[in-house]
Amino acid sequence: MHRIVLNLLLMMVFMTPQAGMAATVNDSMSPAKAELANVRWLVHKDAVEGTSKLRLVIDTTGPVKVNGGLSESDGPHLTIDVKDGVMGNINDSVPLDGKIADKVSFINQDTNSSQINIDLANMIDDSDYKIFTLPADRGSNNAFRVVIDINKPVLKEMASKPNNTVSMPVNKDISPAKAELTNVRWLVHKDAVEGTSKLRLVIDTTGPVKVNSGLSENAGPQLTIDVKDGVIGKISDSVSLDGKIADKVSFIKKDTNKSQIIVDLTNMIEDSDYKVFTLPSDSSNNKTFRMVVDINKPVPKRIFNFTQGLKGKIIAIDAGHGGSDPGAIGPSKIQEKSITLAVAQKVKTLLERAGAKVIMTRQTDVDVYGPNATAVQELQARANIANVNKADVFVSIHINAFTNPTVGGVANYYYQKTGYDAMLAKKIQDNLAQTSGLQDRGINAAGFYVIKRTEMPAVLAELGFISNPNEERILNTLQFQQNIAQGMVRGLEDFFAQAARKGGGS
Amino acid sequence: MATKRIILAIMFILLAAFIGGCAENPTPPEVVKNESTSNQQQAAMPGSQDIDQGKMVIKVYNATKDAVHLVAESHVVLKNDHPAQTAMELLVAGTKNDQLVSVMPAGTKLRHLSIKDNIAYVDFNDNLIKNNTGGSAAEMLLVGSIINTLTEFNNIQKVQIMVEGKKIDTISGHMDIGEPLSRSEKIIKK
Repeated sequence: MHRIVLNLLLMMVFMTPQAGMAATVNDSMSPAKAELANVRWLVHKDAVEGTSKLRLVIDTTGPVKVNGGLSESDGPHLTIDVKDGVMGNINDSVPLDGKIADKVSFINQDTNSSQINIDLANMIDDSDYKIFTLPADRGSNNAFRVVIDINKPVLKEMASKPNNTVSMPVNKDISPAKAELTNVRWLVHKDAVEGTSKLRLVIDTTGPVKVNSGLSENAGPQLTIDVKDGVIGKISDSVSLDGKIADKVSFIKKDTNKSQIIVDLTNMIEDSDYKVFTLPSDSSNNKTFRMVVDINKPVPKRIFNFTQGLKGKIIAIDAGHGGSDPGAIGPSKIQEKSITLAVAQKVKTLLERAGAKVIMTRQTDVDVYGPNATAVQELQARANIANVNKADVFVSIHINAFTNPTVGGVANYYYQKTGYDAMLAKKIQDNLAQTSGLQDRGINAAGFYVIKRTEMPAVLAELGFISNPNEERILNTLQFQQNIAQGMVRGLEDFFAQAARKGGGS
Repeated sequence: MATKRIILAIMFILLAAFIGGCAENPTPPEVVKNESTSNQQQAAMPGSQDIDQGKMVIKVYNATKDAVHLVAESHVVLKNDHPAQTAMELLVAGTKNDQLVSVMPAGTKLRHLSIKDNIAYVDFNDNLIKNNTGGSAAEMLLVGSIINTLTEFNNIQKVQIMVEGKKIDTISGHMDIGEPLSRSEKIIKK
């Protein structure tokens, strides 16, 4: 008797959310969303093999769909897109022990999806992790769960990584009616602030499909996407792209419920450079089911063989603004162009003392291209000086400004074009934060002209805010200028030391 | 027997929690516009049921006081046939939120806005360049706010910034903005 009552109650508990929600969201046909309720973790160590594995278990109040991928932007991490599941009573982030991963964090994406981000201690391979879902288990009192297993990676040379999309259908036994691929559209997006380019392909489908993707170089660089439960509809066989990131996308019929999409890439990319995901239909915005392929413009593979030390290095120093362009002007009328030149000259002296060859874009208060030049002519002239002289690195010196006079601090900006730009920014930033004594605003990607158009690793350093009365005053002192010049030189030294350890390639 | 009762009691609590949880979670307003939009700001949006027929919600981005991020502010205005232009006028007008800072240089005026092939061409007077504070932080936030505000609209994928009728390459000599740019998600405060 009790058992029956218990079972009934359990059924109610698990049925109620779906039944209750169905009424409110019926018209949009979106599935009832589950909530991520709790996370627990443990590093398991195999008794026999001695290998370690991190297992994260996330309890959910209902079934969810998961799709994971690795990325190295902002450090190695594993990102899991959770469909039909949003953040419930779960912590925003939970620190881990750093053996395999440092932290797991949760973010809501939209009204029915969320994302799990795991900061990894070291980059792993696609074969090193597994993501799957488990249904609720009444017998052992378990809720619905998402399980993430991550093996402790074996340090090794680049291994081939066939797939980076893991799709785990929750209901394996129910095969959905097959969908058709009906239309493709594309656009190369250029991030307004960071200046990075991304190709987005959107393929409309008449129903949900499953995707699995991988890179290959057998027939030129290609991204292949296997589409399950989706066949070729009235979509074109192939569409030409603009060649910036990819040249062509082709749609190939496979069998009765499968098809394949091949993207011919202009240059080979890394696994972390692309993302393939599916989106449900969205009736309120008149959108069908979609498959989205995002491909970042890859960082060109240039070979650098840096050695440590400053001796013999060619370093281009760009004192920002100058001549007809004063740059930012402080409340006591101190001009950015005079501080940047004063600091640049001090950096030059210190570098030359350490045995480096210094190329200055300007040595006096002048326009580099000439007066009455366009902004682009002026900026390109600075990049040209570094390019023509084959500088090892390019450092552009600037002073920041903002409308709010209380804002202050040092920052470094990079445009990741060589594989070394962020490293250069980080090393200079860390030293500047120390020697300046100002707030550390960190490093950021930015689409700044001179750091984009120089061919070598480049950085744009912002040495405090001239709009901040206190910083304006100290920026104008010889002692402070000397301190930051020293910080920049130490940063360059640290950069060459680390770049030498990284070795050739990019 | 006692254990069973406890289990039953727990079940009831769970059941109550579930029903309660659902009731407290009304379906959020459907203002999601495209796949790349961040939805973090939606909590601040008035629910669609609160907006009268004949009104529309416009999101405008302004800077945080520390000059690090952009934050969307929602305005409810009368519906018209040029919402993107209205959004730019709201951006130019500045923010009234004392936690945020207006990014538009003083005296900046919108001259013209047109949309062709999903690219918005937004033209300001030359105060956009003349009166900007000159720092790269200000320039990044200004460019980001213009582009992110306009790409809130479904029919705008990219934005070309113009001054006095001409395409410009930079505002204060740092950023490279000589071609149409798309949305920047990372600068938005999450």
